Amino acid sequence: MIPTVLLAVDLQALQIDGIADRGIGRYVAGHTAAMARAGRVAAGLLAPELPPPAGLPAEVATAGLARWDSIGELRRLLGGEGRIAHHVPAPFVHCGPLDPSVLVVVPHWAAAGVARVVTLHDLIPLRDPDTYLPTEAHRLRYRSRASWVAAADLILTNSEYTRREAIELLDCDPKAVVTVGTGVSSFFTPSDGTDNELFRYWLAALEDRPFILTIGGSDARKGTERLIAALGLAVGSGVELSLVVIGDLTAPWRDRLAEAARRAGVEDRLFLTGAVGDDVLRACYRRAAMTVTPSLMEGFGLPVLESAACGTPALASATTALVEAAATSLATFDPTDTEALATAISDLLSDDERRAAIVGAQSELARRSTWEAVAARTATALDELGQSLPDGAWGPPTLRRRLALVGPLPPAGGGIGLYNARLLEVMSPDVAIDVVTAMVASPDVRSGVGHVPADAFGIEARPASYDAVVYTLGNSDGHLATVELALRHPGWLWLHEVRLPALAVTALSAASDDDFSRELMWWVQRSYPGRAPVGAARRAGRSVLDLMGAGVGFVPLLAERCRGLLVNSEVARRLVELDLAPLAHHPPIHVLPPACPPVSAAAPSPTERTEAQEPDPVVVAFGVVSMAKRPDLLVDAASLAGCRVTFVGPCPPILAQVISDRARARGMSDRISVTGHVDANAWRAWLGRAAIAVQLRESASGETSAAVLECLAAGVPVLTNLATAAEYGEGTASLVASTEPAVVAGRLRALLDHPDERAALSEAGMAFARAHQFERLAQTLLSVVGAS
Amino acid sequence: MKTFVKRLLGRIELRLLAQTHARLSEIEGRLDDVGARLDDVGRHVAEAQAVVEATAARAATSTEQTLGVVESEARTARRFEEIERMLGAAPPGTR
Repeated sequence: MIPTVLLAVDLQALQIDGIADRGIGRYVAGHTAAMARAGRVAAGLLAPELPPPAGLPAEVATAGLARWDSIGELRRLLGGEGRIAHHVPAPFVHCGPLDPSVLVVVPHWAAAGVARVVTLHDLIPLRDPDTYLPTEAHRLRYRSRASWVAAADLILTNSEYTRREAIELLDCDPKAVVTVGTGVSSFFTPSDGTDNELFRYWLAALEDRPFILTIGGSDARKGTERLIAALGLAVGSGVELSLVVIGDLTAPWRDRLAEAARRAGVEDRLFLTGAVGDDVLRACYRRAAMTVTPSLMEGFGLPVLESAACGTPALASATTALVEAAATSLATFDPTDTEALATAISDLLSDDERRAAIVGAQSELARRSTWEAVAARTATALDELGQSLPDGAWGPPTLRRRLALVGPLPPAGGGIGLYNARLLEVMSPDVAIDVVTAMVASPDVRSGVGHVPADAFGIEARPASYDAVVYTLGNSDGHLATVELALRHPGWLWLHEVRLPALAVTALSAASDDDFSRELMWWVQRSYPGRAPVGAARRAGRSVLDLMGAGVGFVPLLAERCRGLLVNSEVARRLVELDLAPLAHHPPIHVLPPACPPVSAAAPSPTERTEAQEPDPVVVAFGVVSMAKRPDLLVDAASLAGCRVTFVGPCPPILAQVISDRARARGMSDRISVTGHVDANAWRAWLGRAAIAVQLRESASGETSAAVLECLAAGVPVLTNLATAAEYGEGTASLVASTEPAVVAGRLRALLDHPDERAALSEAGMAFARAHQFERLAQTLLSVVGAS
Repeated sequence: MKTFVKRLLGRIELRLLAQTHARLSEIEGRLDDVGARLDDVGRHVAEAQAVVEATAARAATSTEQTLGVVESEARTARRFEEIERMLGAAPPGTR
C-alpha cells in the first residue's frame, strides 16, 4: 500500500494585509482547513519575517499544525515516516519588483528537492500585462515566478478555465494540472432572519428597497462602472432597484463610481459599503434581489457561488471562469454590452421561470461546491502524485547543515573581526557557511564560505533557511548593523563583551544633550522595567565607563529576542545573569572556550626567550590603547618598578599625549614609548622582544582579550587583572587583582627579577594555547547552536 | 484741496497697484519656473525609481531562477538515486 502524501502548506498568504481577507486568502484558509479535516496536512507553515496570521483556520491553529517555516522545521517534517509535499497555495504573493524573492521560493525547501504542489488562481496579469505588469521590472518578476509555478510537480487549479490557461500560457504538462475547484464556506446559507438588525445597522439608508449586490474593487476589470450604467438603463425602463457595492475602494475610485452614477442618473441609488466582514456580506447576499458579477476576467468568481449558497440568484459575465461559476447560460451576459446587462437584470426580475431555473442550477452547484469536495479531489491528485514519483523522492533529504555568521571580518572589526576570520578558517567543510557583513564586496574568506551583504539578509538570503544564525557582537557602534539584524531575525548572540552601553552612546553620538538623555533613558527604562537606574544613568551621561559603573549593560534588550546567548567566559556568564531580569525565564547561556592562534614552531622556547632578553628587558602593552586599559596605571607602576614600557597598537593622539605627559611627570620620558599601529611583521617582532605582556582593565565587562591569547600562544609571559584569565588555569598568566600602582609594580619587579618564573609562565601559556586552538572553539560553537 | 488729495491718492494707489501687479506677474513667472523644475525633478525621480525597481527585479529574478534550478537539480538527484537503487546499486552513503 502506498503511504499517504501529506502537505506542508505555506500559509503566508494569511500573513499579508490585503490578501488574507480577500478571495485568495479565503481560498487558502478554506482549502487548508478542509485538508486538515481530511488528515492531509502535516503542517501549516508561517513566515517568521511576516506579521501574525489573520484568519488562520482553527483546524490548523488549535490542532498544533501551525509552525514557523524554518530549515529546522523542514528537517523535523521530512525526518518522520510520512510522505510530505510542499504546498504553495498562493504562489504569486511577493511578486512586485522590490519584494523579497526568497519568501515564496523558499531556499530550504528548494534545496531539499521536496515534491512541490502549487495552487493556481489565475494568470490574469499575463492576459492583461499593460494593466497589471506596468513596467519591465513587473513583467520580469511575474514571468520568472510563473515559470517556477509551471515547474511544480502538481498544479491545482480553482476552475477548468484556469487549468486551460496554465496549459496554454505556461505550457504546463496537462497531466500535472488538476482542477480541484472552489468551495463555499458553510457559513453562507439562506436567510434565517437572525441578521435583520445587522443589515439595517449597516445599510440603514437603503430602507428595505430592493437592490443589486456586487463585489467591487479599485479595478476597471471588475466592471462596476458598466453595471452602474446598466442600472441607469434598467431604472429608466421602470425597474425599481438600487446598487450596493461591497469592497475596499480607493478615494479616486469612489469618486469614479459616484461620477458614473451621476451620469446614469442613479446617484441616489448607489451605496458603497467599503470592506465588510463575512457576517455583513452574508446579510447582503441574503437580502439582495440578485448578485451581479460584471467582471471581464476572473480565475473563478466566488461571489456567484456564495450568493447562490445564500439562495440569491447571481448574474455573471459570459467570460473566463465566470461561465463555470454561473452554472447556466441563462445567468450570463456579455460584459462589454451595457444594454445586454440591463436586459439581463430586468429579465431576472420579471421572468419567474428564468429566475427559478437560475436559482435551481446555481443552488445545485453551490451544494456540490463544498471544501470537503475540493479536499477530496486534492487528496486524489496527491495519491496519484504519490504513485507517480519514486520512493526516493519522499525520504529525508541529504541537506548540509547551514550556518550564518553575522559580524565584522578583516579589515573591519578589530579583534572580533580577526577572531571571526580565524574561526572561519578552521570550520568544518561539512557545514555550509555564509558570512553576513556590512561590506558590499566579498571579504577575503576561504573558498566554500559564502558572503551575504547585511542589507540583503532577509531579502535575498532567508535567515530561517539556516540551522543557526550567530551574531558576533562587541561594544561599539561598528556593531549596530549586527544588532539591528539580530533584533529582526532572532538567532544566537555571541557577546564578546557583556556590558554594551557603548553601543547606545556611539549610536546617539550625533544627538543633542537633551535628545541623548531622553533616548538613553528610554533604553534604560526599557532594559530594566520598573527598576531602571535612572539617576545614575543620567549622571553618567555619555561616559561609557560611568554607565557600566551604574550597572547599565543593555543585554536585556537583546536577550528578549534571541535563541540563546554565547559568551567567552564564566565571568561573562555571571555578569550576563546579573544584567537580565531577576527571577525570570532567560535564554540559554553557553560559555565558549577561548581560542588562541597557532603556536608557532619558530617561536623562541621559554628558556631561549629569557636568555635572549636584553640587559634592560621591555614590558609591552599589546592592543588598541584606551583609557579603559589604564595606561596611566601602567606608567605609574613602571616608574616604581624602574622598567621600560612600550605600548604596541593603535593609539589615539590624545592618549599618546596623556601617556607622554604622565611619563614626564614620573621622570620616565626615556623609558616609556608608544608605537601606534604596527604591521604584522613588527607585531611579531614585538611579541619576540617582550619580556612581559601587560593587560590591565578599568572594569570587568567579562571580555576576553585577543591580545592576551595571542601572547600566550607566542610564549610571552602575561601579567593581567582580567578576571577571565583566572579561568585559564593555575599559572597560565600572572594575575594581579589590584589596581594599585605599587602592587602592579611589585609583581612586575618580581617577574623581571626571576627569569625562571617568566619561563614557567611562558611554558604554561604555550601549553594552554596548544590545548585551546580555534578548531576546538569551532566544534563547540557548532554543537551548541545545533549546526553540527 | 480735497479733490487734489483724492486724485493724488488715486494716482499713488494706481502706481502701487501697477507695481503689485508687476510683482505678482514676476512671482507667477517664477512659480511657473519652479513648477517646471519640480516636473523635471519628478521625472528624474520616476526614472531613478524605475532603475531601482528594474535592478531589484533582476536581482530577485536571478535569485528565484537560481533557487528554481537548485530545486530542480535536488529533485532530479533524489529521483535518480531511487532509480539507481531500484536497479540494484548500493544506497548512498555505503558506496
